[in-house]
Amino acid sequence: MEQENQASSGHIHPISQMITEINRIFSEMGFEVADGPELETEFYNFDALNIPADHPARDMWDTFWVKPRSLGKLMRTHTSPVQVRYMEKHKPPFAIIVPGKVFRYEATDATHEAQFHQVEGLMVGKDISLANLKWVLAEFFEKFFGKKIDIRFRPSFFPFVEPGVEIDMSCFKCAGSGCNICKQTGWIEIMGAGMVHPKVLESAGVDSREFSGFAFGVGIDRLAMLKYGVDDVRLFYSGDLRLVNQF
Amino acid sequence: MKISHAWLQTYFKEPLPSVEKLAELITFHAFEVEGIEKINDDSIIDISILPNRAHDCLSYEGMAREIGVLAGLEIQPRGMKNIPESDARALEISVEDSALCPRYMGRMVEEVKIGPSPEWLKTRLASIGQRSINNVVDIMNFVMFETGQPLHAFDADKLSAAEIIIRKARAGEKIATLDGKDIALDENVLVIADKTEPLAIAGIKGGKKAEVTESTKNIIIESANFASGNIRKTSRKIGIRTDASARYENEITPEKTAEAMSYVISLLSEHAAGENFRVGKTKDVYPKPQQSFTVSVSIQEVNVLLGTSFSEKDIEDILKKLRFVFSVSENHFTVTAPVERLDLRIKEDLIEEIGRVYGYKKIAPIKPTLGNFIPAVNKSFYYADMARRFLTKDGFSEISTYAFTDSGDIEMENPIASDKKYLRRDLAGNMTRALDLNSKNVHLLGLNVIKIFEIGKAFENNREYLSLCIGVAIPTNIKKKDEMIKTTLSEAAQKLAKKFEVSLDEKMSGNILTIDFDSLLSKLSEPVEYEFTPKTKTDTKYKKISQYPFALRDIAVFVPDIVKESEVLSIIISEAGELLVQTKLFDVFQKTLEDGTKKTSYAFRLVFQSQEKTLSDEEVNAIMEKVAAELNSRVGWQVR
Repeated sequence: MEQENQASSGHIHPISQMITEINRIFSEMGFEVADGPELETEFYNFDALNIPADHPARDMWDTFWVKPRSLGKLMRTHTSPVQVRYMEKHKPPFAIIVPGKVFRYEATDATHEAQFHQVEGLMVGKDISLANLKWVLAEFFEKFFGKKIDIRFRPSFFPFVEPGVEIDMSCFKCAGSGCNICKQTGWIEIMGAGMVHPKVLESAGVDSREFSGFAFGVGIDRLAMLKYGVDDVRLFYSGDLRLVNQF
Repeated sequence: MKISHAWLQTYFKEPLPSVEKLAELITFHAFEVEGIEKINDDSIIDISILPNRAHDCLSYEGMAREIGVLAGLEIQPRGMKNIPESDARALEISVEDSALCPRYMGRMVEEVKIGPSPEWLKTRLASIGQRSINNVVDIMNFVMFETGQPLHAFDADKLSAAEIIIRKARAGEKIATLDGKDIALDENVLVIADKTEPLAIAGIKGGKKAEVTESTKNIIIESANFASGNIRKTSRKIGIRTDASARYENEITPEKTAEAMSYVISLLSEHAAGENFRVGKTKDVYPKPQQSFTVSVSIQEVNVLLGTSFSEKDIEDILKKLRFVFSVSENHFTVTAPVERLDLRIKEDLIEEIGRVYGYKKIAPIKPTLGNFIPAVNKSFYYADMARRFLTKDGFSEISTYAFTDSGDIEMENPIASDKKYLRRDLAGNMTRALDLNSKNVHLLGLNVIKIFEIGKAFENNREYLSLCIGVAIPTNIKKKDEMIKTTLSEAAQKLAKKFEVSLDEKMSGNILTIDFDSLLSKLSEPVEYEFTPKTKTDTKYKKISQYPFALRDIAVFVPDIVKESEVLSIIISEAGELLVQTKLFDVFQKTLEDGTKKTSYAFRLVFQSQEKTLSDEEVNAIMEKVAAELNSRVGWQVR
């Protein structure tokens, strides 16, 4: 039971704490923290990421559009548009992470929210490879969970990367023996990633014959729910100190 | 897509691996497996086919090819009867828009006998949740699931003439679909029509007019290709999505139509043939045949992107395993993309094929060397983090609330709820609600005052900006409450201004203070280095918030003055048990009795709450009695 003394300090929101921790770990690995607008254009959120209009890939993101639709403005569905904006302004090599609020048009329940937080990463340089991605992520998970975590890649598809992968991490709670967190499988699906598609590089002014890069994205709310055992994602945005003051 | 193990087996002479082994192969080398279901003697694997492989793998033939590659099994050729053309009525096809309809194959089939499907066909369709209608319709569906090529059959005698026109609909045209819907059409919708009216919404749904029924004698078979973008747009607009339209909207190679047509004819001749079964000439309108594509990649390019060190032989072996047609020359591989693989167009696509079949598991991690990159410090994050730490030290807690709210300058086209139509103009509205919510729980939280803040984006007509909003509420009854609130807020603002050494662009309204954080940032210098403090807090284990109301009780006790608060509290806590969720000392005073003994009075507010139900007064009273009894049992202790 929490003994609360008014003179004691207040509490930083668990999502902010997590973002700060993630920023710290990646900063120490040489990444820069980047940010961008939450209200985005269709171009930066979709077209520049090789997700054309009238293509089924658009169905992978349920979008909040600003009225009128003809403006082509929306609430960003991922923080990837910031990566494009950054690439337009900076020459490789570079490594950035982009934490931020994102929006999906979804019915809300205990595990789904219309607004949540993601952190995405991007590293572009000479000869950057999938093997580098593996190394960076393994390093991150070990520092984040404070112990060695195994990761595995499975083939998948996102329009802005090729090859595209889904990444599982070994369960931080049971280390693979099976528990309720990992639904007895020993693995937790944790992020999407891949090698940045040449169309995305070119569209942002990067020569894809000279440079290659990897990108990854992870949902922070989900990570927080897994790590702390929070049972309802909506609690993060309710302004309720009964949640915040536990952290 | 649901794949029946038994159905898949029909493609292979040798036995398939077990369904679990198959799922593992698919998961690590091709697609995500959503689940496995056992139905009777069969197993159904639910596979998530993503947009990049829908054009070849939303079919048994495509999945079989993929599994043949991954499991190293030979595919046996399909047993099809070649049915010769005979003198059925001539069929005319007229494609008015070949951009929207790259290929149209039509064939007249006369003297079919409509009836129930053979058992094996009913079983096959049932295994993937498809119901059986009649032999002709079932065969069309079966061939679609087998080949990935959607097919359609029209009752030939219900057309105005043996002529099919593929055209855009005209404004004002309508169609009554097979399942009884009336759809209004316009010039953006592609239709299959006869001379008088539309017969089907191309690629999506057939119309009632030319429906194949029990009395149908002659049919026209359509095996065609339609432009994916238009199918998707139309499907969304009219709100109809079918297995056929789902395949079309992901694009299919027009080269598929011929084999599907031969296959369906062969099956019709076996299972739906009348006495004088006759098949007409194939009418094929295919002005721009699909070109052949080759993709080239060098050994170096493969190794650079994957981080591997393959030799020429290594890559050759993998391409052979993939059963690709390829040539090698000067460290470059040139692969001819199989006709149905619309996703193999650039070298990265090929590198993905090589990587996934090789197995990502086998790629060892390598530390990257990035060259000369000096990461800048993010000004916004740096100072926001500084503000957070500063405010929390001053007793404020951070909240996070919704960007969508009930009023604002910017409206959403598709709001999630009627009270969330707008983007918030500022953080004040949410702050007020949060202050109210937390005030109700002030005792549960063990607080006297609610002090909260939020740092987040707000949206004015022409500006997205970062705002810092601070709020104070004093829920208990204190004199001069409003003054205290004002003081607390203005002190917080002053301290911030002093910490940042700039004047703040602030606005105070009631119990809420708003600071334009972007304006603040513009006055601050560029930070040079982060001031991260290493994580000292051990990981929190979240305690579920109870949905049931809490109960309050006060207890005060006189104790000998050497007794500390912590001793009294620990007795209360251990006697009260786990239903006691919060305690707070709210009064302490000392008293000297007439006989000179010194006593201290401690008064605590106790909060009781259950995770399972609303506690009754009786239940709480019983606990209080127990606590009081224990306290009173100590020498010199007296509950007041």
